[in-house]
Amino acid sequence: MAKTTDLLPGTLDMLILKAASLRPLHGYGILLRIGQISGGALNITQGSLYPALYRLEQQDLIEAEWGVSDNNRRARFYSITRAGRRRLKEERASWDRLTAAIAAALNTTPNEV
Amino acid sequence: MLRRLQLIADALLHRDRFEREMADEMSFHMQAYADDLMRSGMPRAEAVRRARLEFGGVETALEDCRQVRGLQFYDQVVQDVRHGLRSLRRSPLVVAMAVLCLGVGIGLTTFVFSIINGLVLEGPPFPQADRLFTVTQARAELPAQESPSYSVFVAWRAAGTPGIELAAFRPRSVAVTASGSAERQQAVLASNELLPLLGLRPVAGRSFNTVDDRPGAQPVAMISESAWQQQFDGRTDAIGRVILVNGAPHVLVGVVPRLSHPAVPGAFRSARVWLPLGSFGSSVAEAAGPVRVIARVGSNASAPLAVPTVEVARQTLEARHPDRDRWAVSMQPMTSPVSATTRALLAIMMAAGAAVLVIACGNVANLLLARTARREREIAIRRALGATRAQIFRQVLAESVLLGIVSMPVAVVISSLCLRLLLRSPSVDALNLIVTMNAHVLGFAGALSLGVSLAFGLIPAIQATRGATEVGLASGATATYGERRHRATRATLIITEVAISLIVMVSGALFARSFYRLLNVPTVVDTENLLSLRVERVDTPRGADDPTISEYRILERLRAIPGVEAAGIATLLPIRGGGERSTVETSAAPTDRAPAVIYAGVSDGFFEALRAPLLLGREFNESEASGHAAVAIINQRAALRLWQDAEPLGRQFRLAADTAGTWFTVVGVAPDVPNWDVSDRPQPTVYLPLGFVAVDDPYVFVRSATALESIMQSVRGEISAVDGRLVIFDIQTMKDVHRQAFWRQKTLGTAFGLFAILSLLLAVVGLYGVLSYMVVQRRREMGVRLALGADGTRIVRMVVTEGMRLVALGVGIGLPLALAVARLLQSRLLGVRFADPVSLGGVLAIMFGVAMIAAYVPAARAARTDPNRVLREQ
Repeated sequence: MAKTTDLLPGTLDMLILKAASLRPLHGYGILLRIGQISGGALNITQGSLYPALYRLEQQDLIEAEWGVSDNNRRARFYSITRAGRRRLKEERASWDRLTAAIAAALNTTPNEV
Repeated sequence: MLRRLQLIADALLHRDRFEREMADEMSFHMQAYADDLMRSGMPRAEAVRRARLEFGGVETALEDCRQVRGLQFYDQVVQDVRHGLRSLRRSPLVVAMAVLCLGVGIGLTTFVFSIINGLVLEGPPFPQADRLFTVTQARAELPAQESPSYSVFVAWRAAGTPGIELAAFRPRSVAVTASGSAERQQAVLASNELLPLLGLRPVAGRSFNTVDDRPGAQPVAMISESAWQQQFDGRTDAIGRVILVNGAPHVLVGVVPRLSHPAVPGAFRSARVWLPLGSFGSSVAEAAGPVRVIARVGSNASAPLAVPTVEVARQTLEARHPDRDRWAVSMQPMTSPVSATTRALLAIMMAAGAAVLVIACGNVANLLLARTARREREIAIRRALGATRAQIFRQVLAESVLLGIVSMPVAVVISSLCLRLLLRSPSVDALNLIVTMNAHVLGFAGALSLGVSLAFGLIPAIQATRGATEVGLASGATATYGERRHRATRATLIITEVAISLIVMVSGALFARSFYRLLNVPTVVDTENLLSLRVERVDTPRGADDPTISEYRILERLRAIPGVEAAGIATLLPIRGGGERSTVETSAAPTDRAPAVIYAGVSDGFFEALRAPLLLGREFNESEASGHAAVAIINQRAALRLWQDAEPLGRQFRLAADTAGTWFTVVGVAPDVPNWDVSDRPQPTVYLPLGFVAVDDPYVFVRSATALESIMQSVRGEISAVDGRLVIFDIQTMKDVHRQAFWRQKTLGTAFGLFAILSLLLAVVGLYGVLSYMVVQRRREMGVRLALGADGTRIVRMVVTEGMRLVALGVGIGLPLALAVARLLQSRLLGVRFADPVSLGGVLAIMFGVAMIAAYVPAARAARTDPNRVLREQ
């Protein structure tokens, strides 16, 4: 099994938004998509996905609709809303700032201090 | 935000679907995962197991989802309510007591609120009433404000007044024949602008238009809503009917909405008929007569009214006054706010209502405390089983809130009963209340029930969760530690209740005594078997040679009726009001500070009819009364004021209001007949012959030797026989007049009496409850004492002493407070000092006496304890 990392708190929401931003997906599809885009490096308890989805729906960042899955079963499909896209953009920017800052801090060599 | 609420509402309302879909969604997930695993070659059973394993706890996930949707909170509330209902159902007696106490407390407070709501909060029924002004004019050299004449109003109307809407009206009494006989009714003659300017829409039909308001127009009329209800049962087909006003047919065109708010000018409140000012009667002859002019200032409806706007409006009107060199114009707000006296009265009543409510809450808190104490073990067990402090707290609180909700309808019933009682009393004519149980009042009752139940519920809820778990469990049935703590809380509550109740009772006793004193203040006038009525001739205008009322020789006819002892006419109504004001100049020493008096016209025999014999001199004779001699009768106070100690008979004075400047010679001195209210100081009053101060609608007084009913018919008959155009109105006995004179004291006295009785009852019931509970708690102790030879009397004494100790502590705290409150109320007490020993002593005696009875009952029960049984119980 590939080496996996536990999620930082608060990052699951961002990943869900990202996954749902590409096209409407059901819960399992979102999980697969996160696994796919992260190269299987992130460790998510599958059951914890749903409270997160319900919360995002409650916050009007994603919306849900019943549809039919690839294998012809009824499934609930989530798609991102305009507010969700806005949020994703903000989260993305702040994440970039954070990682850049941390990377810069970690890359510091002794003579730069 | 809206979408969020919609999601929550959907989940709550379609709970089944929500649960099903949630479960479906998760099982789909596991199914899909298992399918994928199988596709990679895993056997079916293994794949399903893996999928379930990796998904994690389904129940946890479901519960988390519910919480996200806010359902968990809702579920807990439902659970608490269900539990609360179940546990309340187990003790119906406690529920009944609590609901009754709360119902009385909340009911009384709601009752007072409904009055405040009707009088103060809802305000006059005119939109933007603060923009309405009464326009008056004053001669440059005199400060007296007068109403402009109709011709001035017409001139303003013709000139146009930018930024100001103007309307005019004139109150008038008319004879109306709607069906059957003629009836005297108050009317408002209104210019066509009046109703739209006030912002009033007719309930049915239409308002007057400019055509109706022109001289010589087709005669039309509107009627008030109450007249419409009474005479036409509120049917819309009344519009278009013809009624006779002063004998002339008028077509009904509309119905004026109800105007009973006390801030509305009296003429509007009492009017039953509305007629066009410009066309009713002979407007040409009345053009010089005064009308009341109303202005609405500021056309920009939304902006707040600025003071300069009013000043600009005033200047505009002054500049366009047809006789602007002689008259200065001024404007006063039309609707007066509720008077400070009435506000203070309501505040006092509200405070008393709140005090009763606090006592009621104390009782309910006590009841619930006793319950919590009995359930200490149950609570301890539940906590040991893992219930959190918050859960227990919430649950105890839920019971209180349920009690609050249940008591709300009881409270509404009680406050409606109080309202009905109040509205039935004759004093309400003076109050002129429009008080109903409307949405505001119901909302108030609801909010109060909830708020109050949260407040008193906190005490037992805190008590229930404060103790350590082990104590409750270990101490078992005789929880001593918790018991002592509860007992202290309960005692504090009772002491507080007694103290508050004492305050209400002392105030109540003082008000009741003050009212009783007032009833017995000598009125000077003998009100027994004395009838007062008013007479007016209806067809207008009166010709120059038509007789005045006093010239009709009505008195001769009245005095001839068998049973009538005396009769007189006056332009004022003793005890109630009337009369004009003027300053006086005396022959002796014309001072620069001329004293002011009230003056009125009276006929011969007036004082005889009142049975208020003159102190000096004599009454007018018939020829003097009709104006053939410039004589006067003055009251004692006027005599003192005008000539101090000197002999007043034969002295002369004249009135500034009398343009003829006649010198009147004093021929008699009358006792000080109350002018308005028996509690007011009598004013200096001078009585002139009726012929000098003739009015169109004077008061007629008839003194009967027997009950008034027996002469009523003859009085009416004799007056109509003089001239068919004479109409009698405002018939009332002087006893009623006297009674109405102190409605304020009466309202305070009755309301406070009621509040005092209820507060005493509630406090005593609370004491009884606490002592009964104590007796039950200490059964074993009593049993042991009795077994060891104590006799019943001793036990009784012990329990009663315990109760009296609480009452004494309450009285000790309450008495200084009660005195302080009574001192604040001193200005409303008439003839009673705040530290009135009779009231205080009476209240204390009643308080201790009733408390003694309440304590004796549980004490006697304790003394009857059977030691054998109690000791075996353990």
